[in-house]
Amino acid sequence: MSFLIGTEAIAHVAFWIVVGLTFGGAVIAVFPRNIIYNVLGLVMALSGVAGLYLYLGSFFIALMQLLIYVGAICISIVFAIMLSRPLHLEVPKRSVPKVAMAAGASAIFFAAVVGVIFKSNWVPAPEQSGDWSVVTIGHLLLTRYDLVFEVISLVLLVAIIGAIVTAGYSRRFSS
Amino acid sequence: MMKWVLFIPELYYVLFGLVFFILSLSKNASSKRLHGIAMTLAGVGVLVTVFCARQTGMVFFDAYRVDLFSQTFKLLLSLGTFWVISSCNELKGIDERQHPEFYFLISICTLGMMMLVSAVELLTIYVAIELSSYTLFLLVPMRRNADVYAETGIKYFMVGVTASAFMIFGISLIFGMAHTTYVTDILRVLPGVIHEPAAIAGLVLALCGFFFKQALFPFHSWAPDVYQGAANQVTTFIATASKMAAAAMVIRFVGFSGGESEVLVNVLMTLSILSMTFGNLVAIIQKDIKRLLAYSSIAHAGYMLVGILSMSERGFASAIYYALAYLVMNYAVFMVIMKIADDGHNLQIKELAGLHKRSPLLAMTLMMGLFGLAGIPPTVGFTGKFLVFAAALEKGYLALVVIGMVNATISLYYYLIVIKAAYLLEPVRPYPAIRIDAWTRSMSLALVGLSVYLGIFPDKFVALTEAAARSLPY
Repeated sequence: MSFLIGTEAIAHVAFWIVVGLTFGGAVIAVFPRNIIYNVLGLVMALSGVAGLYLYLGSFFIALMQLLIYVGAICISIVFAIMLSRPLHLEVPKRSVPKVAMAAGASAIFFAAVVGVIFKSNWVPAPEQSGDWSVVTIGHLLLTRYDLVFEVISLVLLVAIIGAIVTAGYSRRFSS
Repeated sequence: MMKWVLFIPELYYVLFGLVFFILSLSKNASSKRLHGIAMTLAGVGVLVTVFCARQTGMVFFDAYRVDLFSQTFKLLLSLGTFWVISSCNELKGIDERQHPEFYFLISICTLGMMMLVSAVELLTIYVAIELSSYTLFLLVPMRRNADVYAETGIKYFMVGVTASAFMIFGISLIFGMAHTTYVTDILRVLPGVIHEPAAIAGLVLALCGFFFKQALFPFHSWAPDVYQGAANQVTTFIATASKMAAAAMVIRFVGFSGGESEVLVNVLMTLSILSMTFGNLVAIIQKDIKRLLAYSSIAHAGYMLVGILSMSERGFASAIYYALAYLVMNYAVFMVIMKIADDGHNLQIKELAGLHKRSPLLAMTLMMGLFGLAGIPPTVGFTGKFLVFAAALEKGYLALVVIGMVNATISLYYYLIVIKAAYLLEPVRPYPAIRIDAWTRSMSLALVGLSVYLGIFPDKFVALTEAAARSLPY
């Protein structure tokens, strides 16, 4: 019994560490002025989210989160940074009123959302079957979510073509 | 099993995009030939949507609903796309090397908006709206001297991304309340819990994504800059076709509440009043005609919302009619702009001086279009405003209707300034003659005829819009 309590406590502690990683990463992703730190913060936050998926019992989605967001998207952000403006140039100063206004607006929105969440009467959804295996997800992707699945590839195609077209401009101007 | 026929219009536009995807690889396609191909494909596209107009059914595991409502909007969308492409014969505002990509993006954007009006599953709706937004984000900075207008593209993108973030947040709240992403289930569950703050907040936030596309008040800030900064043809596309899709989706999402929520009506009413008043007051001082039309589009989003927030079948029908009217009259005005500024520059109002001598036909088209926007009988704009206000009066929103009327009067002032420039002012320096081809001439006559015909004999189209509103799933 005490052994069980022990693992549960560890699981609990690990959960809060994951939450801390997510929040800490988000803070780092927003505040430092060096954009490389921002990306690293994003990596941390997204890894934390992967941990949260693990706690929700979806091993597959957690792995996908690591693979796609941490592995692919963050790396492509790093590439984009490397290929754009040199980092040693001086960054423009932050204007205090703008920061204050942004902070105020976000605080109001946050307070409103928290208020809405606490004021609402949330009805728990009926228990779904706990089957989140790759087979089930694969079936769902090719049946219920077939259209979304296909359209997303079209969105990516448009994004790639757009990146080429837009980058074509900037190259012309710089040379 | 073979329900794929319901998906023919969308498949057709995929094909359209594919053709230009392949053409973008060839090095020596002249822009004239590209325009010919695009116009043929877009023209056939209108025919395809006409032939598919009477289809009904569900495809893709109930995520995609084909009914009269969606097909009516698909018809309007394909018509808007065809009109825009038909006036691209001198696409001077865009680098010639990028013409294939221009047509590719236009066709994919139309496809995205067509999917949007048919999608009845929240994820599908979200991905479809992203598809149409991405293409527009890319079309806006596609202009000669892009460095001057780069700011425009970035601004559009930033506001769009913010709106989209609000929207996905709202969708997650709706999902939390209704436990489903399917519209039919949401319509069953949500009216029962509409008095929960989370349901209202979710709906309003989800609507933000569409308000952005409509340029309704809190999300309007992109409109003037984008209208001015984008190439004339792209502005026309944004101002006509993309507004249709947004109107359809606002109708669908507002319908989620089942008309049970006072709060939602009040929010929409406030937004509508702010949008009308702000748009009209700021439009008065504009010098650039595209900026003026941007502010007028903000006001028109407000008028359209008046019909939608009535939340009756008649209200929705009147909004659909208004969307049709807006397409016709706005396109008429933009076509004149594109023809006068055929080298792709931004047209100032004073450059219209003496237009009635340089081209009487274009001057008349401009006048009819602006009369329509101002809501002067017997044009289609008057009938549209009449139906919208009648639907609101039926629900007893007298104050709203009065404010709307006052706004229509204010708007008359700045529309008349433009008409005065075209008819009464003498040009300070001689402007180059305007060349009009046979297509433009017949389009002008058709648009003038259409706006008068739809204005005087609206009954058939009103019947169509009412049937379309009835086919909404409630």
